[in-house]
Amino acid sequence: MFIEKKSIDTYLGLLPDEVLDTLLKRFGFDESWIILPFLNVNGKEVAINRRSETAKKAIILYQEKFFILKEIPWYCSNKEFVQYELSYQIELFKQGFPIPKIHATIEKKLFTEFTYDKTEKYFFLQEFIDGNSWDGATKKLQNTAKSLACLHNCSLVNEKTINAIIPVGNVFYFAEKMVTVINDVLLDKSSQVASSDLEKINTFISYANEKITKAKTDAQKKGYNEIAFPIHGDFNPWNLIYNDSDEIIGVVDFDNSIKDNPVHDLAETILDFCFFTYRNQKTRLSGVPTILNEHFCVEILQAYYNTVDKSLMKVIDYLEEAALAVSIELFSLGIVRGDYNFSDCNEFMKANDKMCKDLKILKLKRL
Amino acid sequence: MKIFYVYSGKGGVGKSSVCLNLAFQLNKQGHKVAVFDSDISGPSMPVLVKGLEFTEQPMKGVSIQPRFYKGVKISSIGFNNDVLDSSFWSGKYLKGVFHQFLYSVKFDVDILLIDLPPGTSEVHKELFSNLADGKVVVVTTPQIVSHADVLRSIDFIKRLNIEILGVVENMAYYICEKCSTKIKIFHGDTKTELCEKHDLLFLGELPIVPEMNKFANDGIPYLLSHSLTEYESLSNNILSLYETKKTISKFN
Repeated sequence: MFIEKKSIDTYLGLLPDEVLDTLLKRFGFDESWIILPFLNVNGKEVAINRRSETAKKAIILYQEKFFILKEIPWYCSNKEFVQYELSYQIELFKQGFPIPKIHATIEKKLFTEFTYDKTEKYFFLQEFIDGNSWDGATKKLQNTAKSLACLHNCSLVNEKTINAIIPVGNVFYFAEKMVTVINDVLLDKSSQVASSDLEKINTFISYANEKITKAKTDAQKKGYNEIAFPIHGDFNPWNLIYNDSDEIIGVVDFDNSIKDNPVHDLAETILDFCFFTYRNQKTRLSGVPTILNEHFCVEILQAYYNTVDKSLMKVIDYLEEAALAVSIELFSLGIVRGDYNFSDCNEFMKANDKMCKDLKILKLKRL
Repeated sequence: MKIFYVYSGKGGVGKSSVCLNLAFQLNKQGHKVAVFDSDISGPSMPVLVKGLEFTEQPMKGVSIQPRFYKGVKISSIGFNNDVLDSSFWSGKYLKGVFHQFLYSVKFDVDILLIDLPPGTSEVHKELFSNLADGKVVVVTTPQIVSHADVLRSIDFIKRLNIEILGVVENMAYYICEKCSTKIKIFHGDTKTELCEKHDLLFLGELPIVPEMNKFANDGIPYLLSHSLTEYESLSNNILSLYETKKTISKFN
C-alpha cells in the first residue's frame, strides 16, 4: 500500500452505469437489477457517495437479495493486495467471524478487473447486510471491542491459510507517510496560504515527525515488533454493522488491512470511538478533537482485554504510542481532505498530547 | 390512487407552489393526499414547507418514507440532503432514486401529486414510462413565451402517451384590494391563445395573491389557512376530468 494524491473524480463518487452493466454480468446478473443510491443509516437515508468518499460502491437489489459491488480504492488498487484482502476475509468468514459473504464471478474468481477513466480498477461483489450503525450505545461499544478481539484471535491463527502475499506495514510508517502528504498539499496551495497558517502547519509537521519517531522507538523497546499478523487496519464505526440487539453482524472494508501489530487496530478503534468525531452520517471528520471520552475508552479496553487471547494482552503496553501515531495520521488526513484547517494545528497538538497522557493513566488504572 | 403530474414547460411559473397549495386544497376536501417532489437536482418542497411542523418516518428497509405535514404527506430528496450538498442522479441511479422514494413506498393515499421539474428530461421520461396512468396538469403563465415552452413540452408528453388533463393559468391576474378590479399583470390569454388553438382543455385561472408570496417565503402553504375559490374550482375540475377520461379510455 502506498499513499498518493487522489485524482479528480468526475463520476462524483459513483460507479458509472456502463461499468455496473458489464461487471454485474460477470457475476451472473441479468438486467433486472436495481441500484439503490441511498443507504438506510439508523432509519435515515444517506446518499452512498456521501457516506464514504474514498471507495466507490453500489448497493444492488437483485432477485430480492441485496449485494454491494465495490471498487477497490485508488490507494490500494493492485492485484496482489486485492487477492490478499479478499482471501483474508474468506478465511475469517470460514472461522465464523461476521464477514458478509463474498460472491465469485461466473469464472469463479474473487474479483474482476475493468478499465475506465484510463485506469485499471478492481471490483468484488459481497452480500450487503442491512443493519444499524453506531449511535453511541454502550452495548454497541462493548460488542465492538469484543468483535475486534475476536478478529485478532482468528487472525492470530489463520495467517498461513491466507492464499496471498500479505502486505506488511506498521502504524508509525503510515502516520509518517500521511504527514508527508501534507507537504504535497502545501506545495499546491502555498500561494494561497497565509504566512501565519504556514507557520502553524510547519510547526505541526515538525511536531508530528518528532513525536512519531519517539513513539516508534518507545513502542519497539516495549516489544512492538514481536507481534504481527493480518489486522483490519480501519476498525471504525462506519465499517461495522449492528443488529437490533447491538451485536455486530457485519465487519466490512478491509482496504487498509496489513500485517502489523494488533495494537494498531485497538488504537484506531479507541480514537474513532472516543476522540475524533465525524460529520452527520458521513465519514468526513468534524471538529478538532479535544478530549478523550474516558467512559467509552474504558468500555473498549475492558471488553477487548477480557476477550482477546492471553498472548495478545501485552499489546496494551504500547497502546499510547500507537494511539499517538494513529491520531497524527487521522488529523493529517483531515488536513489533506480539507476537514480541518491549518489554523487547527495548535489546538490539535495540545489535545493530542493530553489524549496520550489520559490514555496511559486510564490504562494503568483500569487494567 | 389517482396520480396527477403537475408540470410546466419552463421554470418560474409557480408550478411547485400550485402543486403544494392544490395538495392542501384537496386535503381540505377530505382526500388523503401525498406530494412527490421529483425535481431531483432542485427540489422546491423543502423550502415551501420549511415553516411547518412535521413528523418524520424512518426508512422502511430501502424505502424512503414521506414526511407528514399537517395532513399531507410530502416526499422530497431535498429533506435530508445537507443544504450545501449537490444532488446529481442519472441513468440507473435515477431509476434507483425513484425506486427508493416512490415506487417501493406505500403512500396509502387517494391522490398523489407529482411535482415535475420544468421542461423535458430524463426524470420525465423515467416517470412517464413507469407511472403511465398519471395525468398531467400543465401550469403556465399568460405570456406567449411561456406558451411556446408549453407546446414543446406537450409534444414530448404526447409522444410518451401520457394524458394531459388540461392547462391552468397561474398569475393570471391580481385583484386590487381597494377597488376589487381584476388587473392583468402579465399580458396574454392562455384560454384562447393556447388552449383553444391547440385543442387543450382550459382548467382555470389562478390569481396573484401578494400575501401568498409572503407565506411561501415563510415556508407555509397559503391554502393551509386560507381559501381561494380558484383552487377549489381547479381541484374539482381535475378530479372530475380524471374520472371522465378514465371512463373514456376504458371503453376506447
